[in-house]
Amino acid sequence: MRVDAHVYADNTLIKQMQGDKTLDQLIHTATLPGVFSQVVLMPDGHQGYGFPIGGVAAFDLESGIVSAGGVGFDINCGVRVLRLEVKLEDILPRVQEFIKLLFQTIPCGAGRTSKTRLSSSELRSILQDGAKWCQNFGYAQSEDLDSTEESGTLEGADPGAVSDRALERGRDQLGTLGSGNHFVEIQFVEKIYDEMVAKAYGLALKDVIIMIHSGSRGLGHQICSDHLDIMQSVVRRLGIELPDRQLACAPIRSPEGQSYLAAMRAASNYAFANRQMITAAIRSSISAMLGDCQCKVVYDVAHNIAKVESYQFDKKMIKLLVHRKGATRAFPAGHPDLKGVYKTHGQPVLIPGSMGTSSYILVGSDTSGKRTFYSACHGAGRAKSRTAASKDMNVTDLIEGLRVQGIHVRGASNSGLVEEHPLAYKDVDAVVDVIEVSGIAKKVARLKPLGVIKG
Amino acid sequence: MKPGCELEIHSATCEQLEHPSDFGLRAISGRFETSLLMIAFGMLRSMFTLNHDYSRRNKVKIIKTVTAEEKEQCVVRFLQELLHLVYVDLLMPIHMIFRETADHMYECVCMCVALSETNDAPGTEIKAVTYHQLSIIIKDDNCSITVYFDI
Repeated sequence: MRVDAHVYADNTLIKQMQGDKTLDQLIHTATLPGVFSQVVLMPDGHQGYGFPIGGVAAFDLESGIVSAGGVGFDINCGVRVLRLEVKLEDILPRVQEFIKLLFQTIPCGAGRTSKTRLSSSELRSILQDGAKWCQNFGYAQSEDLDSTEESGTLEGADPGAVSDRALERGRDQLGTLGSGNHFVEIQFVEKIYDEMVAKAYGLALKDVIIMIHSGSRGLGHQICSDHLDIMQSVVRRLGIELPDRQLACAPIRSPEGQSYLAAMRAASNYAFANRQMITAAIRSSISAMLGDCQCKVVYDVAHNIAKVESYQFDKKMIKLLVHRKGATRAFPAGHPDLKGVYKTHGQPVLIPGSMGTSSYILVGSDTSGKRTFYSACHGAGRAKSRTAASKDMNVTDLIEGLRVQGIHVRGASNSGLVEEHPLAYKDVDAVVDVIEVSGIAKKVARLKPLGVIKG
Repeated sequence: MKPGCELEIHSATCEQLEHPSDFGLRAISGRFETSLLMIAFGMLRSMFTLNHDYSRRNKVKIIKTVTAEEKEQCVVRFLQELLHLVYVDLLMPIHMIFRETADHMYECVCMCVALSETNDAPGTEIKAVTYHQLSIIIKDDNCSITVYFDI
């Protein structure tokens, strides 16, 4: 190991991490060239491919590497939270109807394609401009972009660095939810922890919320696969020894490293646009069902991404490439990269729970950022494999169990629902408690689910 | 050119492996080419369940070529080609003949049927083939291949 490995967890969460290769993977990450200061594992950390999920690693720009596996296959998988201007008591009797309408409106599940067919030039524009493209064509309001990380557009994207294969996979998927653990959930604000910050974010008790979890779809996966393949060659050429081939990497300043970063940014822009298009579909559904009802973006943040950020170490400002794989950026109040209310109060950190459990909105609070490179957890984290989860429960019991709690669910497939049942995941309350006790981020609001659609 | 290996979609099964996040497959046979096709069909069967009428559908012949300096790369690149065939071209291979045609070059002749949105049931959306714990063990006329998939 070139640097230390820091784990944020309580006793139960650590024991779960010790049950698979999570900690080994964290240690492997600490062996990579140019790794800086320490590698970090969030309390929802679990075994992934190469890097653990929930892992954060920063690299010196001159001597360090970039690893496609350190971002993950689903580039800019992330979360967006919307607030509906409707009273909870008005929506409660109609949740089932709303869920059904969303399920019909938003393509979800394996093999489902978008209602929006993109030309090659449109797709390239999206890769370049992200959510800004959506605004240009009337799918986004300017306030939406103000409430999105990087205003929904990562600079430095290059559609030319994206393979034809990736473009083909992305052409018919804009505005689709995807499968696995992707979802759209309707919730309400059950508890407020920080009145001042909640008010700044536009949140109040009993507010009706919609949470979207989705990413860059097949396009992002193909980009990761393409560049992992290239990085394998770089590793062989440079004689870099790796404990896991999925850690394949390239020097940041190399042509291969720069090409990956340009393609990753393009995929990130696609994901921002994807969540914006899903938002547009949700607004259309709301309009059909409730008439004139405003739906505002609270925030949109990525949890699989690599970004160049500035940090102060030994009284010097240095730029690092921070890989977050299953980890969310958590800038505190005053951070120069934030604007408006976020600069005043700190950036929202959006933490989805699992089906039937609470989700959270936190605010970044670690003012130095040195411990975790301004990173927090991203969700509950898997505790069981999909196979084990499928053995635990049948879909009828799952749906009935949720219904008894007042939660309506629609899924693209029964197996997809069962694999995602709450017991397959860690305790999100415990995960968030660790984050708060550690001083990384503070709770602002707890959200309770009312209904969910899953891919 | 070395002799190829030929398999049909339901002619051989492989072992499904657990992974904390997603899933893996392991196939064991006497030859690399056979084990690779077993993994390939295992992957394809998990993606879609073809309606029983599939053998009566028109067949489309697709030839996939892969260049790879080593077998691990061949496995990943070939399986990625099949992912693309299914998800973008909407064609499902039901019979494949795989062979090494020259040094570091491989060819697979795939007889495919068009996927039917109404008749064929989508299963797991396999998004990528990973290099994570990818292993190919060839020993004494025995070839074991293990691959993990991101879903």
